[in-house]
This record gives sequence, C-alpha cells and structure tokens, in this order.
Amino acid sequence: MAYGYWGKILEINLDDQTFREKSYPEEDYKSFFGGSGLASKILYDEYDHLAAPLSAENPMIFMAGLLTGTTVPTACKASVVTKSPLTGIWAEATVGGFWGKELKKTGYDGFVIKGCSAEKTMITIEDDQVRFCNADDLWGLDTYETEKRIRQEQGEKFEVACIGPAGENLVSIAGIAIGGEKTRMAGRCGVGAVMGFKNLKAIAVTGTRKIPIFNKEKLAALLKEHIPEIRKNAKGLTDFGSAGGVQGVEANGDLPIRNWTLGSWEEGAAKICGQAMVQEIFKGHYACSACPIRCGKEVDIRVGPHQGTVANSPQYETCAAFGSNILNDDMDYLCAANDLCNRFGLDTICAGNAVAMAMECFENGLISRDDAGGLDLRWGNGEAVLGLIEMIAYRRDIGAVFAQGVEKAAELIGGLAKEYAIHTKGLSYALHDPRAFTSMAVIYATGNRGACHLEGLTFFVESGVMPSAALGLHHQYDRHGHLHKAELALTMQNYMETLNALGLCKFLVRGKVGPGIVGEWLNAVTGWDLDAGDFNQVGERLYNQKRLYNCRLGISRKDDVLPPRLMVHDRKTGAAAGSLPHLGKMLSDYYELRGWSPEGIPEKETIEALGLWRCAAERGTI
Amino acid sequence: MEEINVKFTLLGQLMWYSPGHQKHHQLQIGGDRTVGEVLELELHVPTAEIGFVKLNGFLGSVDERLSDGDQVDVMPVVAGG
Repeated sequence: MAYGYWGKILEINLDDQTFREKSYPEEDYKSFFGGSGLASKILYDEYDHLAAPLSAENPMIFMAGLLTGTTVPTACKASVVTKSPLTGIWAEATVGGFWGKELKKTGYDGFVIKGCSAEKTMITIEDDQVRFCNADDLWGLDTYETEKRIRQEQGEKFEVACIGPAGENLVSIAGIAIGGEKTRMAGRCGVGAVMGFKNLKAIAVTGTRKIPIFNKEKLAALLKEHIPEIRKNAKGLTDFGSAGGVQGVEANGDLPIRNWTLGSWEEGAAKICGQAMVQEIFKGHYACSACPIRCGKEVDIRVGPHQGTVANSPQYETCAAFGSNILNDDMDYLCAANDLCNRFGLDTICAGNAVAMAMECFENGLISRDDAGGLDLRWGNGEAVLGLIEMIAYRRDIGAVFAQGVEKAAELIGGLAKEYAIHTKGLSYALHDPRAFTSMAVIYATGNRGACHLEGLTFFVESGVMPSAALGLHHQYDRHGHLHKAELALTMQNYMETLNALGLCKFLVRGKVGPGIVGEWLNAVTGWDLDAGDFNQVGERLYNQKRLYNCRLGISRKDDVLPPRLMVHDRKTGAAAGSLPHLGKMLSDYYELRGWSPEGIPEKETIEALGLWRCAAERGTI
Repeated sequence: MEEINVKFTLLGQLMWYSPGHQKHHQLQIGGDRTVGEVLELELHVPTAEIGFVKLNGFLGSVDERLSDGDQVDVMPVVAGG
C-alpha cells in the first residue's frame, strides 16, 4: 500500500473526450517524488520533445506534490509542466492555494491533458468521474468571474484552475489562476497560453478520498516540534506578506530599479512596502492549505477599472516588478496592476518586466505614443501601466508585441531594445539582482525554465536567513565574491527541486527548515527510510532530468548567460555598488561539481549514477 | 551604572518594529549592554530579521558591548520571495 500518494494519474484526451488511469510504481515515486519531479520523467519518457508548444501533441501535466494534501506544513502545491510557448524549452509553473489538495483528494496524483478540444471546454473531475462541459459562456470572462461562475454552477466544493483573457488570446506570458480574488497563480513560462490553445478554459476538481499516512503519531510529534519554530522565524511574512521585504531588499542592493539600471530607491521602497500597505489599505489575511505562515493579504483597490473592490495584495516580486522597476511609488497603482494581471491571467513577473522594457523603449524613442495606442509610457505613470497590461492581455497595439515576452519584443522593436530585454533563455528575470548576491548569477544562468529565482533562492543563505549548516555547508560567503558559490548554487537547486516535487512552499526556507527536517516529514508520511544522501540525490536527479530535456532541444553553455545589463553594468549606488558576478568562473566550478561537460551537458557517468537510463541511452545524440 | 549615548540606524524594514517607526534612534542607555540587548529590549527588532550589524562602520556582532558614542547600523536579512 502506498502512503502519501496514490500511485496513479489520469490521462485525459481532449481530442475524443476520453480518459484512462495510468499507474506508476513506488520506485518512480522514490526516485522522482511527485509534482514537477515525476512530471519531468513523464514528459521526457512519454512525449515528443520536438512537438510545437502550441500544438495538440504538447501535453500539459498537472501534478500535485507527493506530500500535497497532508498536514505537513505548506504541503499545498501543484505544478503545471509542459513545453513553453515563451521559451521553447522546459516549462514548469507551481501554484499554492487549495487546488492541489483537492486534486489529491480525487484519488489521483495528477492529470495529463493531451490533445486539443475542437470546442471551448471545461473539465470537472469529482473523484474518478471526469466530465467535459461546453465553456462557450465562460470564454472571455476574467479569472475571478470564471471561478465564481463555475462554483455557483457546479458547487462550492470545487476548486478551480482557469485561464483569463490572456491565456485565451495565447499570450506567451499568460498563467493559470486559482482561488478567485484570493489569487494564486501558476504564472511562469506561458502555461496559460498552452491551456488556451487547447481550448480549455478551466479544470475544476473535488474529491472525497483521504490520503493515508504511514505514521500519524510520529508526524504529529514532528509538527508539534517544528511548526512553532516556523511561525517564529517567518513572522515577518505572516505580518506583512513577502512585500514586507521590499525595503530590506533595497537596503541590501538587491532591488531592481528602473529596469535594472539604478542602485538605490529608499524613499520609494518605503512607500510601496507591505508594512505601508498594511497601514493604509489592508483588509485581511489568508493562507494556502496546511500553511502555518499565512502570507496572503487582501487590500482595497482604490484606482483603476476595479476601484472599490477588495483583492489579493501584491507579493514582493510584484511590488518590485510594478513598483521599483518602473519607478512607481504609488501603492494604489501597484495594487491595481497586480489585480488586473490576476484578472487577465498574466504572470506579474513577466508582465512587469515587459512594462519596464516598454517604458525604457518609450523614454528612448523606440516606441512612440502612437505605437502605444496613445499611452504616455513615461516612468512611473500608473494609468499608462494599467492600459498597457490590458493591451498585452488582448494583444492590442504595442501590447501584441510585449505579449510575446521581452526577448521576442526586442527582436521586433530592434535597435537598442535588446539592451532593455532582461531575460535568460527567454524568461524574464525574477526580481532579485545577481549583482547583489552573486550565487544568483549561477541560479539564473542554469535555471531549467530560465531566469527563475525559485530554482535556487541562494540569496536567503548569503544574507543569513537560511543557515548554510542546515544544508550541510560550512562556508562563509562573500556576497559579491565567487568562492564556493557553485557549491551553494547546486546544493540549493537540489533542495528546491525536492520541495517542488513534494508540493512544499519555498517559504519554508524563511522558517529555517532544511532538507533534514523535510526528510523526517517525508519518511513519517510514506514509511520510507530515506537518508540525507538519498534526499539530495533525488534533487540532483530532478535537476539533471530537466536539464537533459533542454539539452535535447539544443541548450548548452552558450545559453547559460545573463543579459549584459546584469553582467557588465554595475550598480552605481547602494549596498551592491560596483559588484559584478564572475559568471564564467562560477559556471566552470558548477559544471565540474555537477558532473557536466565544459559545455554544460551532463556526462554519461553522471546520468547513469542517477539512474536516468533513458537519458543515458540518448546521451550520445545530444 | 553610568549611562551612555549610542546611535542606532535601522535599515530596510527594521524601522517598522521600533517605537515610532523611525529609522534613526539616539538612545541614552545604561552601560554594559550589548547590541543585541538594545535591539531586542529598546527597539523590539526580532533577531530573525537581522542580517548583520556594523559597529562604528565595521562589521560587528550583536554580542558586542556598547560604549559611549557608538554608532550601530543594522542591516535586515533579505526577505522578499
């Protein structure tokens, strides 16, 4: 008997509206856990990597984490895995809330959506019953209205994952939203566009199955010990959300400002931080399933087309993307921009970076007011930002250009626009500066989905939030130097892989939870006996599996780069002034530690040691 | 015990924990106090939020004892997410 997981998934075919169960052995769960881990094996082994991202042949894999749905702290996540229409490589987007838990209660660990529906469609899954419903009346609705309508018609017990107009319009930076106004978003890599291409508006899930736990008493004892510590260490998140970190990030020289060109923004940061929002517009807290931290906040929306409503408060990434990085110090326009993105189903990181790039193009004469549909895209103009977000979601005027992401926008605009496009492998940067904590340069350069912070989060270790000893490391790090950074990067990447695959939130790092504690939870739930070495090896396996998916598509060291602005332009003021990452040296160290060739391809011995036999057989063709 | 005058600067979000939400604090305190004691007892800054401290411009520790005229800059950890 399996504990913590079901050992089976549903394959749902939109072409002929059929579905079937598929079982996976315990060995696969031990080797890949669940979430984006098991999904990486399925995508690699069972689907054509050469399929176009927007095609019936490209599957979407919705997978709950192995621990999702249990009482393990923060065990709420589900991942969406596919081939990205934004980057053309590995795509994963992870989301919290309650959808993953409800998915797990159906008695399946995940769903693979194959094919493409001829009509606008919604799927409901209730335990083992799958229904395909016409979605003509939902098409065109925003994510809040879609969620509300489905729950009114199908029942409040359903949790809904849906796309908004951005996904419908195949915007390459569209995400998949859950939770209505209490939005959580599988935001990155354009997964919403893949869903839109498949004519799939929503997946509503509910279930009655109870997940079996191997040793409930042991788990309860562990949680009794660990949860108070997590709460204490992560109190700042509880009080103010991740937006409470805006000023601290600025003080550390880590905050992107004016499309990554400035070094300091102290007064602005004080105006848009979570503490200021809690003082002025706060309405309440909310939490994801099983979370003792409760970082979700609700705020008043006081400007824009939805003025007078209450909505999800921007988290840190969005505060930086639609605040400092576009020189907007007005919290009301920041919150309205976040709310609009959530309604349209847009990734706020990609959308914010796109807006920053558009403003820089406008300020430098590469985009005219006519191009911008009459918008005055000067730095910090909140009204214009709201207008541009809508243009992107509906692919109107200059919005049609930025709807394709910053890399393609730069190609279309030409001239110096490529200098303003801040991306790696086509994915816009998360809002932590690799010049401030240089290990992040390795994380961004080698990130399997592109410039993603969540694949590493090493700044938490370098700045002292997460003790390096909890990771089995014992170095002191010079935040602007390069020594030992490769080791730190790959250790954190491996750990982050396991958190994703288990369905756990990365804010556990704020609670100072390391792999040792997570391993104890996992063993109590599953009855396994994994030690620290086994646990780290799973993370290593997952990182290599995803890398090899990308290598088959031609990814190598030539793609493991940072944009020039982050490599050779130093910040002139602030705590990171003068710092530039020594990427070449760190990457050489990193490849060697990973067992990859100098060109960044995993060596056959490395692949075999991880038991990735299918990949090993294909190594010679890369 | 003789009182001493010290100046604390709370960088980033740390100001929000202190009385009056101020960044700069000129304090008159009893002698024989450590940086950490003042941060906890006078300024209410949680230890988990402290990245590092500088004492008179040099990297210091929360365990260091304060002297008259000391200036302490307190850097928060990087939060965000």
